[in-house]
Amino acid sequence: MRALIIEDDHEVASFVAQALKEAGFITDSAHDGRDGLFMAANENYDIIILDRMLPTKDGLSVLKTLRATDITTPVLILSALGDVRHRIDGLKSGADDYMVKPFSVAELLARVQVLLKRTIPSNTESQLTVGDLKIDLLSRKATRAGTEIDLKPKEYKLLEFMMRHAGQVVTRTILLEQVWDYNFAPQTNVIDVHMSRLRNKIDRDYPNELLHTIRGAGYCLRED
Amino acid sequence: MKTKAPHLSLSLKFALSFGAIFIISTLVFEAVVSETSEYFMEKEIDSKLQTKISDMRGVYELGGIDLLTKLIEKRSAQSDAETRIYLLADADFQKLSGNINHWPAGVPRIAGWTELEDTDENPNEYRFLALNLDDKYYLLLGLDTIKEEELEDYVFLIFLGAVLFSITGGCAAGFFLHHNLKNRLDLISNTCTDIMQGHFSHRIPVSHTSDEIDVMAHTLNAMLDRIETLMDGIRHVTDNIAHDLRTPLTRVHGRLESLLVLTKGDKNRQLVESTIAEVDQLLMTFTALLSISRLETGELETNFKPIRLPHLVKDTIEIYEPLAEDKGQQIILNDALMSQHTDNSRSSGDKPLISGDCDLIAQCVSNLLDNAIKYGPENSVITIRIDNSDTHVTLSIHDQGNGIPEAEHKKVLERFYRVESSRNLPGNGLGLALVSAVIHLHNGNMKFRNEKGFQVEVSLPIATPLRTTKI
Repeated sequence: MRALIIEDDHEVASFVAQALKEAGFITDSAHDGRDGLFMAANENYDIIILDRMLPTKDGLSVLKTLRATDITTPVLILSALGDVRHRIDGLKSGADDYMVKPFSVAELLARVQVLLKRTIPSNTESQLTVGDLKIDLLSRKATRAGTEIDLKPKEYKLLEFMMRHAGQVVTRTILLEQVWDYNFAPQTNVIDVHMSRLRNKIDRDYPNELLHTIRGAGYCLRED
Repeated sequence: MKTKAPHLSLSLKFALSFGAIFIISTLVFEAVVSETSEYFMEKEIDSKLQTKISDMRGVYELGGIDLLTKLIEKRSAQSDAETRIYLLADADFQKLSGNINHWPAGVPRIAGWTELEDTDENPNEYRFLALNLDDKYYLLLGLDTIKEEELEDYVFLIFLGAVLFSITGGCAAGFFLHHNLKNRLDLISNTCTDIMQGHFSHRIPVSHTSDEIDVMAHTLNAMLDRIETLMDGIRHVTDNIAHDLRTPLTRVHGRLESLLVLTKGDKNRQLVESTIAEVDQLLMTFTALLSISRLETGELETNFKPIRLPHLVKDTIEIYEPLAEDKGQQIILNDALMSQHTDNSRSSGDKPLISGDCDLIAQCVSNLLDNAIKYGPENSVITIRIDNSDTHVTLSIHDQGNGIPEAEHKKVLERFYRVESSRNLPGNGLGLALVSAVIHLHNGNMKFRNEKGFQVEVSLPIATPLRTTKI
């Protein structure tokens, strides 16, 4: 996997690169808009991390130029501007995701994973499986080791999302956005409560735990 | 909304007083002219009488009483004698000659002027002049003043016409002035309303007649230019603060995360984790603060869409329910809108919509419910009601906690203000300030009530038109 980081702040660029390398990516960095556009247009990347405010060529116009030349590489925008209007501007210009600074690197990695998964066309599978945990996408029923698990509609939605991203770290912000459609952080951490309920239903009666809490990052559903 | 007291608009008042002054001055003018003309006509009659009587005295002095008697007989027979009275009497006021038979009752038997008003027997009004001729004879001359009266009536009619004309003219002029003035003032007021709704580039149109209203419009426009410059300044500053603070915070966050990797299995890891949490908290406070300022200055660009409040509230309850259950609290949703419509089996398209920014309204409901759970006691009930009137949808959240003391109801809307009893609980003192700013932006209002617990009531105006917009 190859990632391009277009970010004028060298320190931010370097720790993003560091984190992506640790996650198994090969990274390139550009420090202004023109270089970034040149590299993005001439090399083949799997993901582009793009800062919004850049010298020589602004992040949004880099993105627009890329999209105008039919380069569909997923782009994640990093921005110090966090208003709804900025977010909408970014997504309208063809970005696949938008993160507001300061962001946590764990959050960035999680989002990159979600983006890459999303770009793989989903096959017409009718069930998802992690270990002995299964969900049927048509009947919307979940079973573990053959025993049906009683889930509320939102719990099902949450589990389905976790299973679609099995093995990936999913952050609380991603869950708020994707499962509850919340684009702000509630005053109290409500996600943890939901997760502990879900864990009670799928893990409590079984010896091996599938839903893991990743400290400082989020959650991960995987079979150890 | 306050109910407006019945009032006259400024320009209507102006037009009415203009008309009144116009009419009053015409009436005063009429009175003056009428008085003056009466005075001059009386003088005219008196001088006629004076001349005639002097002539007759001359005749008497030259030709004696016989000649005068003859002259009076001759005069009495003349065609215009009807409007005149001639009477020559002796010292006992017995008739010698003339066209009346005896000395009139109302006229004193001495020389001098008299005026007789009309009576039932005599419909005419006369002015008399009596003359004493050597104490032997009395001569009385009278002139009918009917012509003078007629003239006065005529003058009065003319002025009545003038008054009617001036009332019509005055009203027309007043109406025109009223309309003209009202239109121009409305233009100013509409522009101001537009600007308050966030269209900062709008300006008051100027008619180029350079009158007082244009001068005022120019001044107001200059003021608006100045305000816009200041607002741009604020926007620039907040954007800069946002940018200049966020980039270093990103570096701090990044370094701390690298440290987190390095301290794996280390006793310092706890310290790094709590520092990261602290930085995140700092950022949340900073973001909330920035949002509130932008909301209050109308600076935040929002994405207004029709929203079904009951749906949004249900979603919020769904996300908070586990939190409440952990505290043994029960959330009851009492939705007048939902039940009302299932009863009538009407389609969901009939439910009143509010127009708003979905994320902002969701954040409000979330903050209010968060507070109710946080400050409500364990094993209590939180009741949520949604009602609607013709104009507003009202959401009320009622918990059984101690709530906010009445004296602090206003203060809690200020940034960073926290009620004494809640200082030890987590929170940044910005939750209600944000709610208040969002509600204000949506032209709604919020009330607190300490009644069997604590109640927050939020009213938001129903979007119009009701049924044409669908999500």
